Amino acid sequence: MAAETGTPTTLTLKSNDDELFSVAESAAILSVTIRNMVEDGCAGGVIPLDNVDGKTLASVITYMNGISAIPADEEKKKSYRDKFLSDKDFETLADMVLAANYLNMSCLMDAVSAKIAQVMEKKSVGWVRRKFGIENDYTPEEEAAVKEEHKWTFEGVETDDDN
Amino acid sequence: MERTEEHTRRRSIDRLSDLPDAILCHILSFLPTQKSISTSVLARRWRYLWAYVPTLDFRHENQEIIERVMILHKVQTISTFRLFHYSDCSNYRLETWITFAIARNVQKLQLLFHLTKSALPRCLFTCKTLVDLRLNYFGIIPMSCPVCLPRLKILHLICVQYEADEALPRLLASCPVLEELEIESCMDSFSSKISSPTIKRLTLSFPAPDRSNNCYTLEINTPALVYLRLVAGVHDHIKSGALTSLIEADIHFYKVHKQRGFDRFRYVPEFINRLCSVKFLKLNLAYYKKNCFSHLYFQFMFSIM
Repeated sequence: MAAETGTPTTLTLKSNDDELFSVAESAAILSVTIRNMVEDGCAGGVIPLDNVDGKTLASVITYMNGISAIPADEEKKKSYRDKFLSDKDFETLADMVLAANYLNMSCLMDAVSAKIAQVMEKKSVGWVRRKFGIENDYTPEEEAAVKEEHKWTFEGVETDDDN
Repeated sequence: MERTEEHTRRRSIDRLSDLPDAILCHILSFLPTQKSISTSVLARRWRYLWAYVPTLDFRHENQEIIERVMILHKVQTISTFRLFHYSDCSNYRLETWITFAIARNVQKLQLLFHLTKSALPRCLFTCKTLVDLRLNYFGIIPMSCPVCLPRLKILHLICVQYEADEALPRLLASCPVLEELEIESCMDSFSSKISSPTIKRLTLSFPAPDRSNNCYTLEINTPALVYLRLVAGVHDHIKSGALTSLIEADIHFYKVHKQRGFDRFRYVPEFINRLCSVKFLKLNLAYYKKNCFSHLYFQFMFSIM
């Protein structure tokens, strides 16, 4: 790492749709994937991130810069994360969880997973299948049996059978 | 343009369904257990996924269901075990549930009961894996059993009972890495000491609008404290040692009606003088009579300067 020189190091990240982004190394190494590349000396040129598109990467970099600017105060970091995710739709959250997983960023992963769970909590089975792209491969008899087995879990949940 | 956007949306959703089980379990771990189990109906892949979720979060399920879920659950290390239970249950049952969590190396344990005033199982106080323990409205902090919580960082004791005044200091002395302590007392009287070289965040709440004759006595010795929130009556006796690391304080003193004699409240300005290092101070003396209030307010301004 070039930290010894005293000047902030900037990294260039490349999304899978060939967009380039500059980001301070100190913020980028929130990603363990990027930190490992930096430590292995692979970060000299452009760091290709094959599993993240430009739109999502821009968002992740906004998060990296925002959270790394907050000093060690877990309450303030939490409120930044809540605000950051508050206006994101489900598809964006889906992209973010995939990116956080690929980039190995546990704090973002936890925050996005919690947000997805919060959205899922009150939704019907049909809604969750559509949003997660889940194909129902149960036979009607099997599905009825599973529902019967865990009947108590469906109390108070909205029903929609347009799946 | 719209088609491209729709295509992108479709693609991210399809990729979401390709997520490994471990990540899906991670997402499910933020749901109450009831909701997590209900995902078994989504598709065959999801049928037993809930049993590998590292969190158990019960919200008022009946005892039969809780025990059935415990038997079917496959995880050997439970990160969070949360049990909110409104109906009464026997000591024996409660002990079984807590022992179950401890045997699975629970890290975060949160228990909320409303009717049970029962002892806590002894094994809880020697749990080596526990990092975060929150007890709400039940449980007795013991004097007679061994206590050793080597990893405990967060401890919330909301309206618990204490076997003796010494039970709390004894518990704190057995938590060598404790960083956050929250205590709310609902007892008629409370006299204790909070002493810890490691606590950084401390929240103390002694709300009791009905109590006018009894008071709480507390000595605080927490030199590493960074954040303090205190809600207490002006007639309580709360003393503190040096708080030189304190950055943020949120202090509420209330006055119980019909009390007289300002000399009884002398500890309040003394306590406020301890806050001289704070950068952010919220001071609420809302129930003070005006003439008392102005005196204390002057002290506070002086301290900040």
